[in-house]
Amino acid sequence: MTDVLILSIPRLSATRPQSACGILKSICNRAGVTSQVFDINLDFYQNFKSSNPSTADAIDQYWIQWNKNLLPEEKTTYSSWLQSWVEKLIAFDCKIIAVSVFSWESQRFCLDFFPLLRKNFTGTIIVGGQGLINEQNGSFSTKMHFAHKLKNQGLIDHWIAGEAENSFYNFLTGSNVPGLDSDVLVNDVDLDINNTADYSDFAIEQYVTAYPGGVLPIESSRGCVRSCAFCDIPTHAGGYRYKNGKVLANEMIGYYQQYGVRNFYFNDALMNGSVKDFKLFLNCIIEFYQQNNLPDRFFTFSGYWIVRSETQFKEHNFELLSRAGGEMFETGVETGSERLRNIMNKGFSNADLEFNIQQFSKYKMKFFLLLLVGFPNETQADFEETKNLLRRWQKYVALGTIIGCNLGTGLTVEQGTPMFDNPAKFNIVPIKGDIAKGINWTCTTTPELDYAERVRRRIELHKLAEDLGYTIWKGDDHLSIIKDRYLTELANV
Amino acid sequence: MSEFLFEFDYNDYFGIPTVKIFIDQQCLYQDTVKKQIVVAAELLPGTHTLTIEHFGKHAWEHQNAEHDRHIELKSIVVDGVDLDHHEHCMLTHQGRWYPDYSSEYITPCHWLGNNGTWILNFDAPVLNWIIKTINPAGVSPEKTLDRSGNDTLKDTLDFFKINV
Repeated sequence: MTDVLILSIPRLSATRPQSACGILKSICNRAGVTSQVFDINLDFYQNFKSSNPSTADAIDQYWIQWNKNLLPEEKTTYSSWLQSWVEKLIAFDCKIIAVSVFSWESQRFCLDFFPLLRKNFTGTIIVGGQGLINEQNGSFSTKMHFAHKLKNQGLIDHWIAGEAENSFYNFLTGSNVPGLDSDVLVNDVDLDINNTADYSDFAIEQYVTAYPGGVLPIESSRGCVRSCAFCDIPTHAGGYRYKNGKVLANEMIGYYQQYGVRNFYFNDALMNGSVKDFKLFLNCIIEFYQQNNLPDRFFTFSGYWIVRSETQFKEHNFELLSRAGGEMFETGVETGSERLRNIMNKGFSNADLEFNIQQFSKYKMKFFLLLLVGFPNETQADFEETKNLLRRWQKYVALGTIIGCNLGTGLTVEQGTPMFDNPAKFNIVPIKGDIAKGINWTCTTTPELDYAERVRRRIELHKLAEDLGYTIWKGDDHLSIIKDRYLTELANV
Repeated sequence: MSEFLFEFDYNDYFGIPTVKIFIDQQCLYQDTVKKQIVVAAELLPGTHTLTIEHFGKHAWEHQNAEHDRHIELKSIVVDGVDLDHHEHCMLTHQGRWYPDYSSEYITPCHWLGNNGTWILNFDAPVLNWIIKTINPAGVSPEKTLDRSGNDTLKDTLDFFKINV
């Protein structure tokens, strides 16, 4: 008998194992209980999808569009697949089923899956993850609204709010559990202690990736060093905490030694928050190569990056980054307008940005561009600067430095962000009701930037990026969400 | 305006070789070859032809491998992008060398050892042509969760009645 089953559920990109499940398994190990991880998400996108491609596409869109319903035959196929998973799981006769609800995109799956599971399983169902608090537009609620909903419907027994490293351990060992069935997020983890994951249950090579041997997630920090106007991470993820650079390097080396994996993806909001520890990490990795007679770039690692000035991260640091295996860096550029970026409180200039892209290009690393259209106070001139940035950087697309861009779903005002907490500072007022939230906002200094204009600019940028040869990622998702969100929030205004 | 930067090497034992550079029918350079030559051209969208002509070599200007008047094309950089930067798809390898002594062409060939013309067909805008031809990002999310398709874009344009 296995004590705990840990489930990775849709909707996630099936490109690598889910970090949370690996962490939960390592907590089980530490607590002395047996566990087994199942990746239902991978099964959907690999097995179910290959047998039922069009139904899988319909279900995939149904998960992210609250206004979409499945056709009767799609529903039947979907239910049968869910039921087969329930039967597989209950055959283990386990005591606990722990589910990681990664984001709001998992909520519809939960509402379909948990009733079937609950009906057949008498043990404890415990859930955790940001999907318990996220709303559709990605905003954090003031309470764990989705967890309450699941519990009120009798579909789960417990949830853990926030970080589970200590709480889930206590839950398993019968101690006091911070964050249990609570609306208060726990942010109590010391990242240097007990923070390695156990990926032994994952078929790492089965995930869809171009990297031979697969990719493993890794994490250098929680929280963020910055406080961007539109971002809720500093509020909800606790203060910025980071791993010591040597600890982080040893963790990466340990995963390689245990699983043979050489490619990694940093899950955290930024890998270079602590410049000092990031440099230490790079040096430790290069030292490992030298001590073991391995070539530079024996590992590769990618993830989120914040733009640093030339004085903070110099050219020789970029060279070091490349030698250590720096591969692809997702960067929140947001806009081509320095004026607007200053209002966003992004903390870097256009000169910093140009220095970073030049260095990534020079040292043959890849850059992924995140843009945000329709920020309050965005004038037509600001928007033109963003378009000019795309034109100016087309050469980096041709050089293979920029491998894609993500244009998002337009600016939404989310709880826990500086702009939600202080709308007057950003000249934001609601279109309807009393609270400027989600897409329900307009800006008094740029009244022309109404929702229609925001959508128009977003799509104009989409077309321009496409015409210039940029690879746009998640465009279908984002455009579908823009439409669905409009139908949900503003269509009747 | 697109800028073309050519890098050449050459043998000057018999004097510096002479070269002409054309885009379509327009001659943009005609003189002795240099290590670097920069030309600029206004290119309308569509197909164009780049021609490098080695001319004025006499039969006696070849004695042996060391004493041979020739030009070697080292690289072509257009608007800051080396056409050969992608090691698995070097675009100058699409160029065809037509020596005057033959009706056949040689490709790939960067060694202009006789009188003749080296021709590369390309499209403008040039950066779009490079991106389309070599897919330098090396990624194609069309069949993944990350896709961006024309159907959804059209649906969104229609739904919001947007014309961009």
